[in-house]
Amino acid sequence: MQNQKLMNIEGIGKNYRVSKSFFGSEEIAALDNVSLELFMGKTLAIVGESGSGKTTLAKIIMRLENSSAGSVSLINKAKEITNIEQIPKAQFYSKIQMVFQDPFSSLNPRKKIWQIIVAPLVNCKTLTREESKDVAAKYLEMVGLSASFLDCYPHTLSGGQRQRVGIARALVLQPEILILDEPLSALDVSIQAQIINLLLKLQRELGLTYLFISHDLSVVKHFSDYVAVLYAGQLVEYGGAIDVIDNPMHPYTKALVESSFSFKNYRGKNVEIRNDENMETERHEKKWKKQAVEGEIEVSKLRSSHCNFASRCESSTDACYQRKPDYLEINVRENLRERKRNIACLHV
Amino acid sequence: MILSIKNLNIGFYDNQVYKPAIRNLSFELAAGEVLGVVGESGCGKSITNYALMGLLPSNALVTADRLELCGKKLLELNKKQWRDFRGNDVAMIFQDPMNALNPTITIEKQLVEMLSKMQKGKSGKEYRQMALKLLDKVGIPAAHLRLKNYPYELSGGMAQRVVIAMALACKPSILIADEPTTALDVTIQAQILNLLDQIRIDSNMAVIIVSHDIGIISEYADRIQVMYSGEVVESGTARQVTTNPYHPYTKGLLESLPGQGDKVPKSDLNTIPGVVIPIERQVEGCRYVERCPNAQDICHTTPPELIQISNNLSDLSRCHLRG
Repeated sequence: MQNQKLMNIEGIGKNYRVSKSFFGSEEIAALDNVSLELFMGKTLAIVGESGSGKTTLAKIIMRLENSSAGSVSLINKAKEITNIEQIPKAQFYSKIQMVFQDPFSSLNPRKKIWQIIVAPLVNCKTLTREESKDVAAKYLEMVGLSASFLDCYPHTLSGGQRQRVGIARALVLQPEILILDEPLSALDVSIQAQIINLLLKLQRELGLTYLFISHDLSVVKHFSDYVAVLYAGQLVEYGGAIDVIDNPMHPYTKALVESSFSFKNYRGKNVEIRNDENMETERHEKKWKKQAVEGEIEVSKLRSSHCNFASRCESSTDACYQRKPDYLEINVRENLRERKRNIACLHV
Repeated sequence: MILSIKNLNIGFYDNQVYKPAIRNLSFELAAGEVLGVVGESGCGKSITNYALMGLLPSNALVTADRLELCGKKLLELNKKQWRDFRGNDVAMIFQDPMNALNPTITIEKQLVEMLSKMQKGKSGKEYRQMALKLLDKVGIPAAHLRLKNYPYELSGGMAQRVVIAMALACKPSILIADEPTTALDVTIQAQILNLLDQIRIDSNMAVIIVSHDIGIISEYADRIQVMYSGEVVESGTARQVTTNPYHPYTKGLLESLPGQGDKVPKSDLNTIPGVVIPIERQVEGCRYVERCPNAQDICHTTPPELIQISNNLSDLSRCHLRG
């Protein structure tokens, strides 16, 4: 049971054609040769900026988009590997479900909560109204809401409550895998903690496997087992969540970690307190500068022949512009333990 | 002091019923200082800023013992005075840069239009030159090419730089940034805050930054104000509030963040039970009492005052139990 593989994502690529001008169009690579694995009961986090291909990957896994290259396959308990394209859709979606980012637009405003929750069941089972309500009540309870919400409409709920409804809807088909597409980013801090706790509890109790898309590294570090860092459609680093965030090796991951804000680095931390008067003056003079990587993410052209991050990278050399770094597995020795890490950088 | 507020109360008339939103808010801000305001949604962070900009709807009632910005009494301004005041003395940038820009006209036109309203009597060429300079100043690469762009052709970070350029065109003495980086990626967030601080130092401008992200507020602000349900519950230097919080709400917020030193990965985070009490509801005691882990009898009956909690004048907390 330990570390049983549940999903294999192999060499996924996705190209989009964008029109450049009147005379023609250009193909860009939104995803390029992305390979990942999901393990039963574990959480894989995917981090990266907007435009890095996180959501495209989720859409391909959910069969909402077709990939241009590569394949996604599910592995069952008997270790049989099936390409997801060959699984009937009803069966497929009872194995894998998704929780969306925005709890305000992902619930139908004209349906009652119980209707929203049992909606996925309609394709699989026929239920009477009473049975449906019972099912909905059961799942509401599972996500920590009382049955009194059954006949409410979504607009009467707060953001956190809506996100719980979204989770209940995803659970109703008893899936093995949940894709969580930034489920916390629309929520307040104290509500975020409640939803994190709920997701952790569900994982412990139901043995769920999560694919967690996020940009908040402190949440990722706490919530996930593995983390994959995407940049402009390519995997740049992959490893254990804590290993990668505490000891990032790819320059882009380093930049991400450095530009995260934390209340532990409060302003004036490095200013010595001598007396209050002094502090007053120093406080206003002190120049504040956050480590920030220059520039912005650029779309990757199809068959680009250099490192996508080279133009923003502090340690880039001519070699970075001449060939694409391979995505290699390396062993990192940390606290006397060998850990596997995948990384795509010429300088590591 | 560039901004001085004493006992500010803001409320709204809803069908002839008065609903309070901000209660007894008092603070001061010096030139060049950064004040960070944190709190959950619905606790009144933005309403104060709208009052400072004169952007509240007509059913709002604003009262204060003192409300002075750059030496002007805001409660006595008429419509025309407000128009001169906004932009010249105080400017604001909003959360979503894409919504703040007009999608149907070019960046250049928007900048020129604004400049010609603010500084009258120059030629079109001069205005265009000024627009170019502004974009250069906020660090937009190849600014002369960007001028011809429409907002949708810019990335979120670039659009926010344009919005900042507009806000700074008239060298305001105070800038209000309402969640300026919430819609942006982490790396761009850091770039934008670096830019804002550079400008603050260059022009000795005061900044009020509003965010729900305590990380950003504590790294960027000199002084932090924690709001809860229309009241300031704690305020103090970034050091004081983050390392030695007094109010149970501040403590709860900090403890609910992941990544605390002694937390085992995938263990439960601390949470604040319940939800924010609706801002318009009147209560007898402390507004936080229902969610407070160490509430006493006095908390249910007597509203706590904002009192000084250390020998620093600006460290205040609104709690019966400490200080």
